[in-house]
Amino acid sequence: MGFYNLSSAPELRKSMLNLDTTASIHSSISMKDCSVFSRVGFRGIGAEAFLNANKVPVPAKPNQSLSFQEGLVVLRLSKSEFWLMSTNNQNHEFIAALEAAAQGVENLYRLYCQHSHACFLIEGQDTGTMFAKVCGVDLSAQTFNVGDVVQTSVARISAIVTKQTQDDSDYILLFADIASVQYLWEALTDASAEFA
Amino acid sequence: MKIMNCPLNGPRNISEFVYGGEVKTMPNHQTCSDKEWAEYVFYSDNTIRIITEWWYHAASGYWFIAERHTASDEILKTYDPSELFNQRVDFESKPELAEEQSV
Repeated sequence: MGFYNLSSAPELRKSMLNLDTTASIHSSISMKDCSVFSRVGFRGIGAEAFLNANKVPVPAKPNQSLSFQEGLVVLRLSKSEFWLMSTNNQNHEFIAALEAAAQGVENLYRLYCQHSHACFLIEGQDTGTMFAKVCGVDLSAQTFNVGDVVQTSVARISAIVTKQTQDDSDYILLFADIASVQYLWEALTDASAEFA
Repeated sequence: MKIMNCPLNGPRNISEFVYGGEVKTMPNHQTCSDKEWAEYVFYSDNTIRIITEWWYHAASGYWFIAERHTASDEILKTYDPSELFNQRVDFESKPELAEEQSV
């Protein structure tokens, strides 16, 4: 089978989330659906060396993330699994080129995280308190620091949560199974409603 | 709530984990008998002892190994599979089939 670049045709991507049917509730917590923004994942014992060779900095330990360049976040989900996410949707060429460069590299496997996961960007100072309602892991500002990654259940859906910062304000990135995106959006909107 | 300690993610609610069966040596599926394969896939001893098992943390897609007492259900130890498996397990490639006869 020929090489198929999973990052191709970004203009054809569609989020599974339908915001027309979702009630918008006034809250100090704001959520943005970033599901169609480019991202790519790599796994395998050659993944770290491959990213280093392509000038992508990687966190030193599993379950950490870091920001680099303008609007790019690298998550290290295990010793040998990495995701790259564009939070401003401006880094498509970089991500597509990185994916193409991975072709034929030994001990390196691409991950289908673009099409398997939805992504929300969540901001607001009460975000940690809101998560206490839907998540068993403590994501409050005192314990959940910038650069931490937590892989757990959020509103009973398996999710990856990380905190990053841009322009002196912290935000949370949440990845979850794309099939549950509508439910999760509504569950988080509902949980946010009390923080007006 | 029962808590299990994931070697990668730390303590998590047991509902995030999936049982993956006993850790057993996989026989060579090319050469083993049907009985050996069935023993590997379907049968377990079911005795009271400390058992070594595969467990899966669903939220992170991470397989690891746990040692559990089958009577008390106490989880004594969890660790990364690299402690037991540090290289890829390969079986020799399948013998080539004889070419089909053309009719």
